[in-house]
Amino acid sequence: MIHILKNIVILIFVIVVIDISFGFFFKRFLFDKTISGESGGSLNFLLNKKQDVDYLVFGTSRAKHHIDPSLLTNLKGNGYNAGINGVGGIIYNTVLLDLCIQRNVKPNEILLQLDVINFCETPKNYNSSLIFLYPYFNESKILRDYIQRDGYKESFLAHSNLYRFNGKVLNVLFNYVKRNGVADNNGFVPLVETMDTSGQNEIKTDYAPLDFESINFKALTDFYKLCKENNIKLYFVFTPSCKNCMFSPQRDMEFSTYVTTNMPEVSMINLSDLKTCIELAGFENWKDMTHLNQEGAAKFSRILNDQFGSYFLKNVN
Amino acid sequence: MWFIPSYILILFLTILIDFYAAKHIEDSDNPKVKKRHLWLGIVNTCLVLFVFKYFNFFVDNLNYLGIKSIKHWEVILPIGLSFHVFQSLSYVIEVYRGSIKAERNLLVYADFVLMFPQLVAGPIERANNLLPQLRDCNHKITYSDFLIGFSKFIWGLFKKVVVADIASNYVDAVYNNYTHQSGSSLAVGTFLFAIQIYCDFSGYSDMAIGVARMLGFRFKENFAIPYFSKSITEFWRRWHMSLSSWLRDYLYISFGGSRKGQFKTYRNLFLTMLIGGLWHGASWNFVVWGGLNGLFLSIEKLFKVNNFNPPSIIMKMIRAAYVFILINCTWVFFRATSFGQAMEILRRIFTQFNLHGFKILDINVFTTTMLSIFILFGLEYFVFRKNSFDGLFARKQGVLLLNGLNLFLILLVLLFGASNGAQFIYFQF
Repeated sequence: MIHILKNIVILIFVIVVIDISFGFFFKRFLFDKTISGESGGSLNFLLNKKQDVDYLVFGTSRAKHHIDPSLLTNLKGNGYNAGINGVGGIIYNTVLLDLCIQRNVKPNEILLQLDVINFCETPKNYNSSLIFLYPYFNESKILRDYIQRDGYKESFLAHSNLYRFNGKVLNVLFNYVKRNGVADNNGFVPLVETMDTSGQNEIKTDYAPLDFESINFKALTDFYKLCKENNIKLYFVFTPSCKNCMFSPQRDMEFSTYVTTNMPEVSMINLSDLKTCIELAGFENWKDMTHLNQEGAAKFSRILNDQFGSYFLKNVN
Repeated sequence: MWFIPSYILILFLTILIDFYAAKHIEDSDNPKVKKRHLWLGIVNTCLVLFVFKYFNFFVDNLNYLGIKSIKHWEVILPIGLSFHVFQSLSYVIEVYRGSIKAERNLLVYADFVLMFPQLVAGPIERANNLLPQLRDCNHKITYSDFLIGFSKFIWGLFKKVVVADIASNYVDAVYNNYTHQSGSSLAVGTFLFAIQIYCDFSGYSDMAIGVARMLGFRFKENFAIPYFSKSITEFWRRWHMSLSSWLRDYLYISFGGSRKGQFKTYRNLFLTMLIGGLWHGASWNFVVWGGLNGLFLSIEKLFKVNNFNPPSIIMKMIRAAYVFILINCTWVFFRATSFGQAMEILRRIFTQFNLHGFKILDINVFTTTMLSIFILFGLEYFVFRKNSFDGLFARKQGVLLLNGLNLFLILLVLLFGASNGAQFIYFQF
């Protein structure tokens, strides 16, 4: 039995040594130098090179591919789109905002793109969205808190430097090699394809009620508080979907009421109903049922810009 | 996964009935009484399997044929049912055949059925292997058993979380959206499913065998590098060996095996595989999958493919590739959710195959998948083809070698393993 225990102890010791060394060398000499890609590089770009940004766009892929900061001329200064594919739910964005503040990326305004239907379901586990932020584990207390809420397994594993780079190593190496060829950009990524109309999804209408006690609403409140504490003007932006496949008028209304009551400083620009952006009704504007293509994104960004114009006009008057 | 406490009672009841049936078989001198108790054991276990696993399938088919209009029974399949039912059945049959003694201690017999590492997804252990180990009062956990078992466990973990769960990303994306995929994407999806199911299932088996070995129990191997097989017959000798040998011993031989002429041999092979397919799940897709394998086995027997030993390495590789492609075609039925879907996928693979239509979907996931497959087959071919874990341990620097291998695999699991992996595919059976 002593022999077995000795073997286990030595193995654990070697793993810990490798883990610490890897965390130090890989993060410092490779990861921190990447400035592109969704394994942390684009986050490094935001956190290290955008300290002078005036406004930021946060959200999911629907923010990344819909909102072009270069067309938002009614917002003063330079903007950056920090939307991310696949994982950019509100929990991810709250942690990202905390990281931005830690790294002194403090914009005057934030456009937070939201989809109300994402607040209808309580996520069972959300580590798949936070795992993109694990390399910054030591920098954000909010990140550590959310990981802890996700269960003991995740909070244990997240202490491992190796695990923090789980699924990212090859991407980081690739992005490290091409780090010198990355041009300065505003984060907006247009989608070039046009949707194949035969691939329309079934349109869902029976959304579950909003769960105001869910972790998503807690994250939304955290996001709001962080903005308030740092004097950042917060806008909630709702973007449309093809054939209104993600639009629920009732849930929209409930959500608006909640925000007006609990977050009075927030301004909402609600374009989730396709009727408010009739120019986007045709399939030629869409890449798929939930994402606008390049042409559609340009139209949408102009509509959004006009909305900001009207908003500022109304507030000045 | 659900926990339904009453299901434990069903398990205990079947254990009790089989325990007493086997005891009466051994104690009685009257052949009729022996047979009656054999049937009691068989009906008892098969009834549980039928009710939970096949009742709704049976109802669907009756309704489809318009014979009866019966409502579905909303029931959740108890986890691992198919595995411990087969384990219990083999015990009762072996006692009846006189090849093993009936267990006299209910606790030991219950331990045999409920042995936790293999309870939910095998390997299907035989009483003659496991019962003597459970009876042994001088049972000890040794360093060699621990290290070999631990290494086997880590190897299984690597297969599951690094290879199977990562490959499943591509497989799911392609199969769940098959009408928008080209033949080449579907072919790659099917190839990756072959890897996924192998690593998922053999990964579980390795972990089960490893955990048992760490505790000092030796289970039989369940997989022996099946994708290097040079015939379908050889493939089935290397794939899910505990089920293959079960089907051979209790179905194929009971049907008459190869003793009653050529035609009946083919019929018996085909029937055995058909039932083997149905064992996997209550769906016609599994029946077709089993039937296809039965057909290939019969054809190989007819043309005596196994009598021909390829002389060169090139020929061996061609044979292995031919087996792998045939097996891949059968996996389409295993993975597809309906017969129509499987046929459409095969049609697209064979008629719309062009390299321009191939989509990688996610370069990072795809590269990781390919890298993990490369490591998997590299280790299997160069290390495990010639050495078992016991063999590695027995080498001069065996302890260092196994610890080094474990360390390497743990690092791969931490760096590349799916953090939110799916449950094991075979848990549904």
